Parts: sequence; C-alpha cells; structure tokens
Amino acid sequence: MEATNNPPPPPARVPTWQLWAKENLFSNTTNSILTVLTGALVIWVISSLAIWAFTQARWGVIPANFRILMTGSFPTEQLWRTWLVLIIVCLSSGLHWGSLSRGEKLPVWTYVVGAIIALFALVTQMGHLSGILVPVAVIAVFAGYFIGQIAIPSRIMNIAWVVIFFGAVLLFTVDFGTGGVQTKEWGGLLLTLMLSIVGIVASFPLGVALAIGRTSNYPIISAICTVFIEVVRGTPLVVVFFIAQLFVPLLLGGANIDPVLRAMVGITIFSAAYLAENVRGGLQSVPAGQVEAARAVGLTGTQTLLLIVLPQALKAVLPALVGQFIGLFKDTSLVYIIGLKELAGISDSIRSNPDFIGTAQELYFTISVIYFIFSYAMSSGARNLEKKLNTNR
Amino acid sequence: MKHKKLVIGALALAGIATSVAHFGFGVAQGNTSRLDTVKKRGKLICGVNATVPGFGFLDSSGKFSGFDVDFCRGVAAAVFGDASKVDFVSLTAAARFTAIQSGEVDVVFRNTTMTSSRDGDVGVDFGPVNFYDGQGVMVKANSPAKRILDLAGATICTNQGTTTEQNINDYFRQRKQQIKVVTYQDFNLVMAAFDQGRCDAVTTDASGLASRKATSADPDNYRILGEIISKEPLAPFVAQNDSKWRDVVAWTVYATIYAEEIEVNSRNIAESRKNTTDPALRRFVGLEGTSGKGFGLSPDFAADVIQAIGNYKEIYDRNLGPKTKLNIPRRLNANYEQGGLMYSPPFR
Amino acid sequence: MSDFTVNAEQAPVPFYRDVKKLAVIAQVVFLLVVLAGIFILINNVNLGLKKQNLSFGFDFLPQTAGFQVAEGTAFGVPYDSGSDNYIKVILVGLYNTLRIAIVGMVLATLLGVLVGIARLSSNWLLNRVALVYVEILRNTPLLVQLVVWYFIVVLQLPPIKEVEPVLGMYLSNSGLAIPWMVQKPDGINFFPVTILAVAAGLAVFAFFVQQRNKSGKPVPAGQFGFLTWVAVLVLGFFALGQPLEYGVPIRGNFGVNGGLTVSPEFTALLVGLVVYTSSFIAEITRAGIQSVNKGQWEAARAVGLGYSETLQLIILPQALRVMIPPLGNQYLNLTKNSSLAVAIGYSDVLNVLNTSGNQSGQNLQTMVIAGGIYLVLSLTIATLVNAYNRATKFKTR
Repeated sequence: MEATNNPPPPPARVPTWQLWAKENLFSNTTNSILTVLTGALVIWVISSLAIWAFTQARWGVIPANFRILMTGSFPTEQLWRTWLVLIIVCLSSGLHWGSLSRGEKLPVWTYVVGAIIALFALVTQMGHLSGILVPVAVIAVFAGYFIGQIAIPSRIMNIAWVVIFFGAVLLFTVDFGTGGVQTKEWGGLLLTLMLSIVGIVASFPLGVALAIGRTSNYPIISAICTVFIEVVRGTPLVVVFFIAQLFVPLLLGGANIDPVLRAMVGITIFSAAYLAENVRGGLQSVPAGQVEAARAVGLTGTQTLLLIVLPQALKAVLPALVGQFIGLFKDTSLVYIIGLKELAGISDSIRSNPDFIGTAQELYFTISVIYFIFSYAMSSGARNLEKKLNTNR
Repeated sequence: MKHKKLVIGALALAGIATSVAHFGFGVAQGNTSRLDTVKKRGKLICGVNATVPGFGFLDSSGKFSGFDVDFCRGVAAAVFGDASKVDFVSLTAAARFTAIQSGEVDVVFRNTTMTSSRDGDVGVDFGPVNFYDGQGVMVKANSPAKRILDLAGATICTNQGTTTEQNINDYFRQRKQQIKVVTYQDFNLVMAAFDQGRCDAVTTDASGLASRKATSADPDNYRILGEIISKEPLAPFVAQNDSKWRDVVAWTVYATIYAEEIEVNSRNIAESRKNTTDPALRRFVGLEGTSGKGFGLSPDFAADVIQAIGNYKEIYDRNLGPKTKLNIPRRLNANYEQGGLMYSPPFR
Repeated sequence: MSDFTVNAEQAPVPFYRDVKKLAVIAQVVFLLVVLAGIFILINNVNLGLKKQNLSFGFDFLPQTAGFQVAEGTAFGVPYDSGSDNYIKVILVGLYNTLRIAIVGMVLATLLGVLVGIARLSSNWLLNRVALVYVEILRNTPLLVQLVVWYFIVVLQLPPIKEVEPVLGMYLSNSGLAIPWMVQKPDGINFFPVTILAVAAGLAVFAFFVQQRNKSGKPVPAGQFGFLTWVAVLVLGFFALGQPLEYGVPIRGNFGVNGGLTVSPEFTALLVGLVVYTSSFIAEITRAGIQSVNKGQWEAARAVGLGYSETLQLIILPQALRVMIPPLGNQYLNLTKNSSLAVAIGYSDVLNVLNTSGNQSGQNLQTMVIAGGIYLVLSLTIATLVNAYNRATKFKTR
C-alpha cells in the first residue's frame, strides 16, 4: 500500500470559495465538463441512495436480527461471555492507546463519536442488553485511556493482548457448569472476527517458518517450502476451504474436527503462504552486513536469525502484513460458501426467513458498512504506521 | 553448533510425526463398529438438513427440529435410552456423503434419495426408507404453465448436488424438449433467485416444495404443478460395510413403523413396557426375546425409541401433519394397512 | 606440508562434527519427515476409502455426466448433457472460467487505469470521487459485492415478459440477448478461428510496435492489428464453409431464443470482478504514474504536447514498467477470484467440478482436479507476465 502523498495543493493566498472552485474545479474547459459530469453522477448516486434509505428501506430487519448478526446462534444465556470480552477489549484498547500517547490530549471527535455510539445504543436498545452494556464499553475505552496515560507502560499491553486472546478463545468455548458454547454456535460478526484473528495468529509462526525455510541455504528444505508456498498461492481460497471442509477428517483418519476449526485450518494454511512471501521480502531486504556483523560478535546462526535478521525483516514488512490481515478479514466471508454463518452467511439466512424476505439490500448494506469500518480503520492504521516507520529511518 | 540443533529439531519432528502416524493409523485401522465408537463417545453425531422446514431446520431459538431430526433423536434413544444425547451437524447436499465417508457423522437423516449408484459407488449403506417422496415442480401462481411439459424452453432452478438436477434434465430430454437449468449452492439461494424472477420454475422433492410454499411469506404466490416426475425414496445412510451399525439405524426406523401397526405410542408405551400380556408387544418392549441384545443394544431399545419420539404416525403428524403449516397428506407414507408403503418386518 | 596431510587423514573429523555432512543429514531427515507426513495423510485417505470399498481413481471421468450446464461450450463444441462425459463438462467449465478471466483482465485494466488517472486529476471533485470509489471497493469483501451485483442489481432488472426490444436486443433479468453470428448446428467449429484471429491481430500489432520503436517513424500499429483480426475472421468464415449464421433473439413463452445471450450470472460476476480488481489496478496506476520523474512531464509539455498526449505517449509507457509485476498479481487474483462464481450460480470450472463431484460421489478427485487446474492457470499467467516483464524491462546500456 502506498502512502497518499499528493494532498491537494495548498492555496497560496487567503482563499475565497470562488477562487478555490475556479482553481480546483473549473480551471479550463475540460475540467469544467469533468466537474459537471462527475457532479451529476455524485448527485444521482447520493440522491438515489438517500431516497432508498429514507423512504423505501425496511430497516426493521436490522434491529430485529441484531443479536444474530453480531453473534449468530450463540446461546442467549451465555451471551455474558461476549459482553465480558467486548468490555475487556475496549478497556485494553483504551489502556494501550493511553499508554502510547502520554501527555497528549484526546481529540474532540473521539468524545463526539463515543457519545453518539453510547446514545444510539441507549435509544435503540437493539439486541441483548446493549442499551446498558454498549455505553459501559464506551466508558471503558475512555477510562482505559486516562488510566493508561498515567499508570500502564505500553510494553505490558503487548503481553496483555496475548492473554486476552487466549482468554477470549477459552471464554467462548469452556463450560463452567452452566453449559458451554460450541464453536459451531459462533456466528455473525463474532465468527468473522474469530476466524480472522485466529487465522492471522496461527499463520504467523507458520508463515515465518516457511519464509525462513524458503530463503535457507539448504536446497531440500528450500525446495519443499517453495513448492508448498507456490501450490497454496496458486489455489483459490474457496478450493482450500472446500478441501478443508470435505477432506480434513479423511486426511486425519476420521478424526472429528468441527467445521469452524476446519475453516480455521484452511485460512491458516492459505494465509501462511502469502505471509511467507511478504516476510521473505523482508528477510531479503536486511543487508548482508547485519548478518556478518552479528556472526562477528559471536552470535550463533539461530541467534542471528531470531535477534538480528527477523526483527528488522518484520519491521520492514509490517505495513504489508497489515494489508494482508485486511485481506484475510475480508476473505473470511468465503466460508459462507461452505455453509458457515459469518456475516455474509447469516445475512443469507435472515433474508430467507419468511418474515424478512426481500430485505437483501438492507442486510448487505449493513454488513458492507461493518466490513468497511473494520478494514478502513485497519488500513488507515497501517498508513499511519508506515509514516511513523518511515520517519524513523 | 547450529547444525546439531537442526538435527535435534529434525529428529524431534520425526518423533512427533511418528506418534501422529501411530495415532492416525490407530484411528483409521480400527475395524470396530460405529456403534462402539458412538457408545464410547456417549453421544450420537447426526447429519441433518438445516434448510427444509418440517424435515430439518433451525427454529427461531436456534434448535434443530423436524421429521428427520426426530429420527436422529430416535437413534440416540435406541443407543443410550436418552434422546437428548445427540449432536446435530447441518450438511449441505454436497457435503453429506463426504461427511459419512470421513466419519465426521455417524448417520445422516437428510432427505436423501436412495439410488443404486449412491449405494454402490459412493460408499454408503442405506437404511429403510422413512419417507417416500417424488420430484415436483413449483411455478409462480401467474405462470402460464399448467403441466410440467409446458415449461419447455424455460429456465428452471434447483440446488447443486442432488438427483433432481439429473431428473429434470432427463424428463425434458425424453420428450425431446430443451430447458435451461441454473443451480445454486443451497435452496435458500434457489428461492431467492426464483422470487426475483431469474427462473420460471423451481424443482425439488415435492415435500420440500410444499414446505417452502407453506412457510413462505405469501403461499398464494406459488403453485405446485400436479405431476411427480420421479421416485425419491428418502432414507438414512451410514458408512458402508458396517452392518452392525446399519442394523441399529434400520431397526430404529422399523420400531416407529411397527409401533404404529401395533398401536403403541408415546402415551401408552410406559404402561405397556411394565406389564403387558400381549406376546407381540412383550417382544417389542423387550420383556421377552433378545432382539435388542443381538444389535448390541439394551433389550428394551424399541420401547425407549417410542417413549422418546413416538411412533411413525406421531412423528409424521407432529412435523408434517394436518395440524402443521405444511399439511402434507400421507399417501405413500401411510401404513400398508391403510394402503401406503410403510411396512415393518416383525419384531420377534 | 606432508605431515599436515597425514595428520588429517589419521584423525578424520567425525561425521557428527562435520558441518557439511550434518547439513545433508538434517535435510534428509527433514525430507523424510515431510514424506512420512504426506504418506500418513495419503494412507489415511486410502484406509478411510477402503473401509467403504472405494478407491482413489479417475475412472469416473469417461462416464456420462448427465447434468446440464447453464451456459458455455467445450471451446466451441456444444455440450450434450445426455451423452457427453465428465471430461467434456469440465472443459465447458474451464471455457467459462477462461472467458470471464480474460474479458475481466482487459476490462479491469482499462477501468483501473482510468480511475488511477482520475485519482491524480487536478480536478478536486473527480479525484475525491475516485478516492471514495477505491476505498469502498477495497475495503469490502468481493463476495459481498458479487452477491450485491447479482441479487440487488442484475436480477432487479425487469422480467423478460415486460421488456421491449431495443434495436433487436432484450435486456432483462434473464440476461442480455443480442443479434449475433452464431454457430450453425452442423457447421465446423468456428471457435479456433476466433482465437487465431486474436492471436494474429496481437502478433501483427506487436510486430509493428517494434518496427515503430526501431525506426522511430509513426506506424499505425493498432489499425494494422485490427485489420488482421478482421481479415482472419472473414477468411476463416469462408474457408470453413460459412459455419456461422445470423441469429436474432426471439421471445418465446419463457425467455428468448436465438442470437447471443449474456447470462445474468456472467454479467454479475464480470462486473463484480472488474470493478473490484479495477480499484486495485487504480492504486497500482497511481503509484506507477507517480514513479515517473516529474521532469518527464515538464519536458513533454515544453515540446508542446497536451495533457492526454503526454500521459499516453510519455508517462504511461514508462509507468507501465513499474506496474507490470503488481498488475500480474492482480490478474492472478482475478482468475482465482472468479472461483467465487459458486456463490451466484455461474458455471465456472469449480462450480462444474463441484457438481461433477456430487453427482459421481468423487468429490475428493474433483477437488484435486480443481486445485491442479488453478495451479496451471496461475503458473501460466505468472510465466506470461514474467516474460512480458523481461521483454519490456528498461534496458540499461
């Protein structure tokens, strides 16, 4: 991903809007025609969207199915688990954010956004307890921010996230005597997120290992890794999912693995191959001098790799990895084809419910917005990251 | 130094691989019956449909229910005496056979047509038919088609991986007519495309059509054409070459049919299994004879089945009968004494 | 000197200290582990299948498939669902995949380059609109976009009964039917001629472009290429004894017959893939154009070239060198993404293989075939892109 480095030219004089419009919209005949045509297109799109959204759309389908859009058939009496995780994640994000921005003031827009989300939840009361717990989650972010600014070093938060990840996976499954949750009961946004997060976490070590293997000097190891990477990269994800869904039990001699886990296996293998190629790029970007210097000061090969080469390589390809994670997040929608009920799959189920037939537009619009918010947030994060890393050099 | 570590690492990997291999072989080589696996697990894993209301679907509380689902509970009752010891796996039409082949599920009750090629080539063994169906065609109420043949030149939608796809093709080919067939992954998509006018008709089992029509927002929108173009005997199936386990499934289905014949149902079974004097009934509920033991089940497994899910009539009426939205007449599925095809070998 | 050698012979390095030997041993062990793993997996599959008296084989391929495919031919040879076998039906699927992939690549490149140029436009409104276009498309899943294109856009068109023909064409939710030259039932397969024509046209074009670059004289290479294409088509038509006839769509009771029908599934998949891929190509184009030295713009403007001439003749050709590798990746992605056809019922190769697997009960084999086909497609595209890249690489003297 490239950083945007063509901001609109800064006006030299104190601009009046006429001047601005003349320079940026009507500088010559071609430009004027373009402006009029584009303007017409924009007006047409926005107005038809607005007419649909405010007069035709039956938005009732969203609040009525909000719970299953978010969590699928997660048992209602176990929903406290998701709320708990949500609030902990919000608190930790706040803490992390705060700990990274010591002495900075929160921009005003964050308060506005927080207040809007909390008020919206309070007024609409969509789904299970969200009227109370969403505002609590919002407050947790701000509380975390202020505590984080004073008390928490950001390094602790890195460890905390690992704990939270495994804690959440446990919490979403384990039985505490009141009935557990099975992974096949995960659905909606929860399943989308769990598939992507587990996918990236699990594919990371595998992908790094494959990259190291491919760049290693041992011809056999390198060949095996290369073949694996290229075969997986040459296969569409749908085919990987089909194979994972239909044949993983057969390959493992009839072992009983549930469909969600199989999808995770598929997405991990797929993502590892792509990750390996990104990391390989990073490994090759580390100057040979680094290795020589490390060996010269007496580090072993393994130490050189783990302490010197890998950290630099990963830092170099971090933006690419974030980009890949966004791709992975979007690609989880493909499990819909093998019958899992993540965001796209659950929308398909809802619209075939006799009460909500003909609400495809509303549903797909909503889930597109959800996907967009998550991926856009990540891609702007990646862009900021890239800027930061660039200035460090 | 580095290389020593590498060797140790590789050896460790080899060790892990051998143990995995051992485990893998252990699972695959075991020549035990599925019945033992199920008993050991303490739960039955049953493959069902999740998109045909009445047969197998997720109700609004997210639980599986339907005609086929009840039979799964029946098998659980036969094995454990407890109908709740069953986990359901929803299978697409495409995934149902691989799910059995790979051993992911123990048995599949998922409106599946018994055919010679499936029995022979696909590697499954069928149990007794629990529902006699036939393929039908549904059009929009305002369609010009009165008979199926009127649809020559039309576009017909159905779902992938079913016998219906070939049947409809054969039907028109035999009559030297052309149709276009568009297929989708699952029946929800088929109906979505049909509702939007992509196809002039949809085709699947007549019971499935009835179920779709009955549960739609406006049933008057659709019309099911009168003809039935194929035989679709729907039967459960298990993995091939495991007659012990197939017997359990088969005699669970027979128990429900037999119970209807001897007028035993979920209400009077508790009484009967304690102190009946009728010799046929005594054998059925396990007071005499050893039928259950021969299957590796308890002698009164049939009584457990009936107590848990009722006899065939009760199952039918509960899911498909006149009091339900679907209201599918029994016809071929009536007991042979009423002129249907449901006929159980005797329990003795 | 000799002492030293003798010593070395007397006390050879033990193998577990010999770095070179250790490396070999480690690799052999690793290879064995991998092979053992593969063997275990295959063995498990075999045992699992044997338990049910099955075997992993491809004997089903020559059997009659017996199911219909909604559209496409086996590269010009019509498919007959009553008598043709699985191999032929898979060829139909492959044809459909290639059709969508090739048309998709061309259109996505055109649209993507246009949007990329718009992203750099000095017109504020145009470049903002292009930005929003790119961001929305890149940040939502292709699958959702495809479902939206199919169910919410294409199938929302009026049904065929309510449509009036425009210039003999019908645009309805059964697709777009247009008058076209269609294969006569008994005519010789014309499909190879169309491929030959395109290949010949491209070859002539490439040849004259090379001539132009060598001589520096203006040669209308595009026109020559186009003429060759037309000439081969016309010659082929008469040489094969006029195997085509003019077909006009005629409305029947259900849908239209005759002429050429572009199905709604094809349309939705094509539009979805093109629009999605174009957003990535737009970013590649933008980066490519920005990578061209500013001096090139200034120099071109100084010799009196206009904006679009500068872009076409000076900037884009240079930008292309940077753009080719990532463009190749996008072509690969587009081809693989075409497998999402399954979600909207287009009969691409994966969809057909899926159905074949279900009908024959040989899902494992059909998935292996699918993997193989996509692998070959990917490698072919990668090879072509690399070859083109090498041919057009900036030659430093």
